[in-house]
Amino acid sequence: MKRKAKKTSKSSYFPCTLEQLEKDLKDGFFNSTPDFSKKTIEQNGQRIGVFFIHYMVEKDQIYKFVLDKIQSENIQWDTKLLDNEIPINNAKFRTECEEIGKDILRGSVCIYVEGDSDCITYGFPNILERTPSKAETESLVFGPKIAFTESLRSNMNIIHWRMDNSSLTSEKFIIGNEIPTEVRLVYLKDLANEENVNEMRKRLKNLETDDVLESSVLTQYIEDNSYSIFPQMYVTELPDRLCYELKEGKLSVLVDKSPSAVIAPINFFSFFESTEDLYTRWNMGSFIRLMRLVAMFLSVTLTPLYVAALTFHYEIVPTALLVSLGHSRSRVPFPPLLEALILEFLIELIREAGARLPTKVGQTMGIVGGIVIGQAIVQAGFTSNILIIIVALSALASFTVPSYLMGSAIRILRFPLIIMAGLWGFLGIFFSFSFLIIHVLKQKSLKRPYFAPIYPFRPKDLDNSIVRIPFLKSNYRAYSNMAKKTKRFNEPPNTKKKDIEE
Amino acid sequence: MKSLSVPKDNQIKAAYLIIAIHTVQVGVGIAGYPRLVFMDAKQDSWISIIITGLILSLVIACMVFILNTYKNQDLAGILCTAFGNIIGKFFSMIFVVYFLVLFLSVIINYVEFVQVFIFPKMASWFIGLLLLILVWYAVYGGIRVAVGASIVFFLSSIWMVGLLSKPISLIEVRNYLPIFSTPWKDVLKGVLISSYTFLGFELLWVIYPFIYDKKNVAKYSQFSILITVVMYLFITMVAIGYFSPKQLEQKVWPLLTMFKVISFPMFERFDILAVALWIIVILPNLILLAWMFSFTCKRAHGWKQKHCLVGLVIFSLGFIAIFDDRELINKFTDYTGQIGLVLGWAFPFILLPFAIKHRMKGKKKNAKN
Repeated sequence: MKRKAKKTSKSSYFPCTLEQLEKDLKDGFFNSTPDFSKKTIEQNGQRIGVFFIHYMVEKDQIYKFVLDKIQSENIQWDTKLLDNEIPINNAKFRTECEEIGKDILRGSVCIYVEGDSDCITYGFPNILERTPSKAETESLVFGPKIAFTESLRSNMNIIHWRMDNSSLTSEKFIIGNEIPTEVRLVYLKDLANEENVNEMRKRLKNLETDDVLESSVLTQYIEDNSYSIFPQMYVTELPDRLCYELKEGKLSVLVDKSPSAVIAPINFFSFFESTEDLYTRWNMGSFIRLMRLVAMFLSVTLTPLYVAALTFHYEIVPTALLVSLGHSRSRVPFPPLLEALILEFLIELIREAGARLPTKVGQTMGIVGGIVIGQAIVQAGFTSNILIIIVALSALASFTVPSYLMGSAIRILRFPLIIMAGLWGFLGIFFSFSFLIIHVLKQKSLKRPYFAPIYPFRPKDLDNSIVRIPFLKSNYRAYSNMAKKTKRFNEPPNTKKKDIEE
Repeated sequence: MKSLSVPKDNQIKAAYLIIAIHTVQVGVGIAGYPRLVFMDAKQDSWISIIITGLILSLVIACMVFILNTYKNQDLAGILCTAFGNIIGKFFSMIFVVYFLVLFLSVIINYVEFVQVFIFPKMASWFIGLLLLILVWYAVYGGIRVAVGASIVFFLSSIWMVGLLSKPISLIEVRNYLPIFSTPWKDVLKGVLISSYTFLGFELLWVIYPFIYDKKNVAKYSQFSILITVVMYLFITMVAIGYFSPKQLEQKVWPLLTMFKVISFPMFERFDILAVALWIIVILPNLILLAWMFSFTCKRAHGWKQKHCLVGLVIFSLGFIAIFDDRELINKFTDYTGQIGLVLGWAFPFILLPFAIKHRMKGKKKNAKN
């Protein structure tokens, strides 16, 4: 604000008449918006103008604190006096028309005493936001249900109330040259690795774009490899997930107008973790985590395996199964590759249609698509029964991944794999798998290895990523997070194991 | 030649050597190895393998000694320091060619597996192309990705050893007899024939400057040799017990044949899968060899590593396309083994006197200072 005060002397715009200011604001900024409001108060031979856009501000407060104040006191006003008398903080002294226009666009009210050399603006933004509601994309059975909203203010509020820690740091960035958006880098200063923070800060600072639409768009701007199909930062709408990761020493980025937050750096296996694994008991949590990994593997392999086996390697199918397979495939006129592609495509269609349609219709579509078409397609001899089972199983398995982006990646990956299997059998499948492994090994998240607990191999980090052990035993943070303090808490005092009867 | 200073981001821990050296050793050779060693050493093959292991341990010790003497140097650097720039570069070039030969021998052998077991009519160059794409993609990521690939591929293929439990249950103890009846000469022949299968430990020459904790190199590389020897011993012993002696001599790839008896409720013939899965076993081989080739090439000539890699890929592709005859492949593999005998096994001992001299010099200098 000091700098603004200095500028006062250099003002080229003020003093001017109220009409001039109004005209300039209207023409220069609001293209004669009909919503631009102006109130002129004439008092003691002075003319005071109040400008705002009526739906962007809290009008009641303006009437109460500004207009009422000015009208009730019979004194000679000037800008300094206004600042002293009006009981609101955040006054800004503006000397340029452009600055005033920008302030008004952000929900400020501008007060100008005619003839003065500067004018004063107050922020009264009226932001409409929904109240936090239940998580939609990452729903939990167990544990906190609250999800982020589109407002940065309430998201920060949720985080601050949840993390009662003085080292919680948040840095502000404004990104976007057409539509500037506030972006916050949030981390725990005591825990987050300095290099990570610097790297993220550098990326946010250097980012040049016209508009950050959403936090998942922001990740596409700042991620390490834009050409990979795998997401390299975790986008979550769950505050509890975010706070858990912050406490593990990771960073997070929040974007205004976006209901989700970004977590980085992240490794491949984090996408298969859910906070629910933490809320359930450790053995259940471990089981479910491992099950998700197996599900991912099955989702990617089952259909290609079917295609490869039926196209090239009949001999691997056991005799008993071969009979029923042959029976159900005897009516199918297509090669297995085409058959599998048709069915996979159908499932994707049903999923996409279900997601686009309104909820009630979507459910009906699911039933129609799933049961009716499924039944009909077999009877019509389009595909075999067994393939329907396999495709349904692998589609189901792909939805167990908590992260929507990772789930989509896996579903899409199936298609090239099926084609490879149809062209070159097992060789094609293993070629694709090797390619994927090498690809994942090459990825980095915020310059940290993506395939972390496996390579670089850290056996201790297998806890917290692939499995879970009882909380009292796991008193160290994952080493690959590079947190400043790796110890979560001191070990519980060693209780000596008793003999059977003592 | 300057010594290498590797940025910390590119360094790897010595512990990874356990798996990296092991995976570069185990590859196509192991599939036919039990037969080869059995043809010479008969039921006393285990003695041959253990002797090979002991010699290898000595070779590794010698290599580590030399590498520790010339701190932060790779093979090309050491050769240039020991023999002077021109002869050193010449020798490095020989090694570059040697790595290339190893690389080619692995790739053509695998192409042959695929043709014999899965796709008899698939063109050799196409199978080669699939492999070379992967190799190119992995080596492009640098040493960290190359080592990472070897670790992940190792973890995702090592379970196949467990599948041998089925052949183990069918072992005839009689097949192991008689013991100690093979003449010493034949046992030593078995050692000689083993040399090809154990090749690949030359990785140590090139990877050494990239290792973060150099004092552990000796420990971990010896450990890795131990794993390899134990694995070869295990597989050979199972093969000898499982096949009758005459049968074993006729099976070109006893290991793959042993996989034939394995079947699961959902999977009748495992050997088909095993051969396709073998791609995971040989990829670390190819990736690390291609990395060794391109890096040594870069060090010796100052060419760009990228260009060396692309050259390797194109050359190999042409080579595979021309070279698809069983007899030729066999001969090529035999010759590779013989070259390996000199460049892999004997070379460290040739270099040893130079290293000792270098070390003495260094000590004298220290004493003077």
